[in-house]
Amino acid sequence: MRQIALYGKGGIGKSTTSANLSAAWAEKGLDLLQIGCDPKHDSTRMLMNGRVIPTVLDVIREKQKDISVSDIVFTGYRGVRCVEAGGPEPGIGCAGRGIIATFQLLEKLGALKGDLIVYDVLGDVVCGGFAMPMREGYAEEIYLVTSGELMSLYAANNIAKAIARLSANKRSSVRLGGVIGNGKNIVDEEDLVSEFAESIGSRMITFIPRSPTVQQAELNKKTVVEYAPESSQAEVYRRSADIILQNTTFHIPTPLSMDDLESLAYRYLKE
Amino acid sequence: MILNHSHTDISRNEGCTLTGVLSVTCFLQDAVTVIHGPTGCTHHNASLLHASLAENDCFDIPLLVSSNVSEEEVIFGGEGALMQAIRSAESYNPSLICVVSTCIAETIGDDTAAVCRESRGVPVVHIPGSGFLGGGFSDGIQNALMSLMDLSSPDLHSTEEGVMIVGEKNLEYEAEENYAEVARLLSLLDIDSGLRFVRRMPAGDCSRISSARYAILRDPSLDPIGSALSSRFGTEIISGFPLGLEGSLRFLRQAGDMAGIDALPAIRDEEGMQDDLVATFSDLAGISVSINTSMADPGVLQVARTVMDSLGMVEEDPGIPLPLPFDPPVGTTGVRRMLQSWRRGISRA
Repeated sequence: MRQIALYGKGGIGKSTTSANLSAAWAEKGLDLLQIGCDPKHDSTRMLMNGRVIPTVLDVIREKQKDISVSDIVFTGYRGVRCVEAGGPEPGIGCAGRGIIATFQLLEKLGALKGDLIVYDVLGDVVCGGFAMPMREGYAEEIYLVTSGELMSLYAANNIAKAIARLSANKRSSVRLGGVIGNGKNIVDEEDLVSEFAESIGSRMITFIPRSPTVQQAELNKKTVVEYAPESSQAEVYRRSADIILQNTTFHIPTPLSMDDLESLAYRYLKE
Repeated sequence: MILNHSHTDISRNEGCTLTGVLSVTCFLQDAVTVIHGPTGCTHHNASLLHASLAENDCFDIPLLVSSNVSEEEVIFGGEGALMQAIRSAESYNPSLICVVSTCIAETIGDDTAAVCRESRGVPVVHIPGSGFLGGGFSDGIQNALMSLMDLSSPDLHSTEEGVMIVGEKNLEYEAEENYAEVARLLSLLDIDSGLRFVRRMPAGDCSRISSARYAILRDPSLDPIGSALSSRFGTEIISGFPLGLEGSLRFLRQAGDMAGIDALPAIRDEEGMQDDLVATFSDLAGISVSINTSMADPGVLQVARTVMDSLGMVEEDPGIPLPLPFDPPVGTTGVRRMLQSWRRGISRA
């Protein structure tokens, strides 16, 4: 069983990327479990054809006990099993603790199984709870999703810091699998993301260009892989899925200083 | 961010902030205290208070209500649980509800103060009680007194006749004896002691705090409370109970000056009483004694050595070890109790 986690700045396209990669892997016949680790609980919506599934935390709250796998794991496109951790309303409670409680329940129920588990994790707020998917026994491969925007690179760099710190623990086997570029139509964006990846001691494993097909698919409540299976964008996701599947190169990242990160972004700044 | 990295300070004053708060609120009559946190915080403190009070022959368990914060409240917020706990507290028909926030409530960011501000039939006061923010037992006492002070208005025009006693150490063994000694010294000046803020005080009396012209703090660590009383209500402050023989005479002078009374006759009376005391214990003169200074309060050491000098006791090593009180003896009577304890120790040696 491989466990991978996608981290990145909020709104950068982690959920879209995760869902499409899961769909592509499922097409290959792999047994997939995708876990959305964001209080917004919208990671798996496209895999569920727009259905908002009950979150683990809501179920815990309502049922308290006698919770079964069927209460929290829902089957979507091509058998992909979908889970949403959920969390408190914005501005109250502790979402990080919610992630920890979700993982504890999934473990207790024996739900963490399959050929591949994909964790889709909010990357802006890396408190201890949101670092949970990187801890021992969970994801060993981390992929940073970023565009060429400075704040997106900044978030990715911060997550690289968390990976580097956790890697220092002898018992931890978490490593950076690579950087996934998610295009925002910025000039020379692919080069910028690629250089960023190399600067932190990794590589850009794939670049997903911006495409209107993504929005069309989402408006039709489907992944691109399901909505437009013959499209070039679906092919990008399938190719990316293959590359990640075949990836055997993992690194402990060396995050950039803020000055170095800004200098890098500045060099690509176009009038 | 509060940074307090000491892992070794286990002195009583650095104990749990929550316990410090409860050592005040549990001595308000007609009040219920709600502890906004896990049940363990309430259970542990109820046990501790029960044990401490039982030593003073008080066997009532203080009325505490827990908001019973569990993992669900940590994740989703605990304000709902707090509201429920306050409703539960209301069912006891108290005159006042004190809500103490614990570490966990502060960590998850519950707006405890806002919940307390909601309009109800009974006043609800919020008292911060989380120790991880850097405070200890003493800070808890101060937090409680400061919050309870808000229940009084500076507009009160009536003036209390007596002197308000502030911040008595309710869990100390000799709390009543110490109060009685202060009251005795004040009586030498024909001054009455008034409100005991807070010891066995009706919760409704919190509104009268502003009307006290004079106040005596239990000890100088409560100076911030004294400053607040002065600036908000114009209260004149004596910054601590009288400690030892010289401290008692000094206290009489201070209290006399504060109240505009000639203290000389009272000081003469007290000096006479102290002379009698020294004569009563003259059998201790010339005895070789030693004191363990390692854990002793500096104030205790100062009073003890002054008394030893007065009696002609000889401090040397080896000498008969003398038992020292935890807190400096209050007044002449406190010194008498210390001397009785010394005499018992010496007679057993």
